[in-house]
Amino acid sequence: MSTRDIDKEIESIHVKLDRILDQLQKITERPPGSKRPSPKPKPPALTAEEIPKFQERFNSLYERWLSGNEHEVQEELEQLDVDELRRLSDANNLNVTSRMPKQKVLELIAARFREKRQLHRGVSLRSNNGT
Amino acid sequence: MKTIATINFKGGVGKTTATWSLGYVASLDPKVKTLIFDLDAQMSLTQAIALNEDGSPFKSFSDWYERSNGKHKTIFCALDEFTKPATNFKFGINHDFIYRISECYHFVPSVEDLYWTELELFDRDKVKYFIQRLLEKIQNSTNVPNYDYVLFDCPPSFSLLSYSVLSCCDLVLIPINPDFFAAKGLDLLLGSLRMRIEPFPVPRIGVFMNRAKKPGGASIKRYSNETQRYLDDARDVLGRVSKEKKLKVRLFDTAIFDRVGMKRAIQEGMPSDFQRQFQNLWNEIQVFLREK
Repeated sequence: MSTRDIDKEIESIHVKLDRILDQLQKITERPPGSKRPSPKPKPPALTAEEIPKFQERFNSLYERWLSGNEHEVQEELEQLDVDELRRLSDANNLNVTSRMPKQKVLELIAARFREKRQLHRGVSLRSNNGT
Repeated sequence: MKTIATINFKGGVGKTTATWSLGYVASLDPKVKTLIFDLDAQMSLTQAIALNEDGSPFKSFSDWYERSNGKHKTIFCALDEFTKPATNFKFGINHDFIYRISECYHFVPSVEDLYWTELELFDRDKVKYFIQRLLEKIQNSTNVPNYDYVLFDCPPSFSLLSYSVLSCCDLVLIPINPDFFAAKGLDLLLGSLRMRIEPFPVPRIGVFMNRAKKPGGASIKRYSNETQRYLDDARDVLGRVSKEKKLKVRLFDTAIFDRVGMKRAIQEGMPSDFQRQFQNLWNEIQVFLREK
């Protein structure tokens, strides 16, 4: 194959690549005047009335969790809508964001339950068997 | 004379800054005479008062300190004198022992020798009465003012001198920081306080949040989530332990917010917002001390 043939071949490849790039650009470009799809509206901020209700609910869930009904509480939390879970967490001063996935929110709640249990158990770090 | 001991087992929670700041706001009232003690052999408060921003000593303080040491008028000399067997406590109180920071604000610095107090050099039972007897001497001395408030910056442990202060003070002030170990440490501290101080009565106990964080963004909350959570935890612990141990406990509503350069406030002067917070805390402390 002569050098000229090679040049021709390369040129045809370039033409093809240009066409592909052109097509790709058309696909990714938004039509003029169109806007980004609007994000899901943020849920309204917690109201002063809501906060104590969520706190009461959180405490009641914690008490049940502490008394051994861990699976029952976990199932109940899992059944909640993610927005509801986020609001429950926010009212109880857990660092949740409006986009935090459900699993992460559940993990935060579980971590807080464990932390509270550690405090609840008091000061003794010794075993109680008296030995 | 009302006496306040700032203590926490945990180091770095802001005991020194809190002691100095509360003494400072108290002494802003020209009718109130305040005395602060540095009982920590680490000498943080003494160094903060003694040193300039660049680390060089204040001439007036270093001259006084040298004189005080030369005349054997340090807190260690007082303790040494007090614990001598079969002697009366002969220790003259004057301004060679007490340094004047300002007209209304006076100070008894620490000395490195305080490290020795933890060794078996002193009669441990006798040391328990040391601060009580020293305060009586101060109160009866005509060489120094009648102090309205005495604040003690205690070491981060139940040292011999801590016992001595805790067994005679009116208020144990515990600064906590917004972290899990603060609430847990509070549990431990309160749990052992009665046992440690007995047979003396347990003084009232005040707790406040130091280095509180503000919430981010446009939140209308008063504190960051962490600060609020650990404040709630501290409240739970205080409620439970005060009932179990029959202690008179108060979690103060005023929190001191974290601030860049907070530690430099002693040397460089107190920023106005910081001063306002300590003034509010001081007002709450006074109310608590006046309660029956």
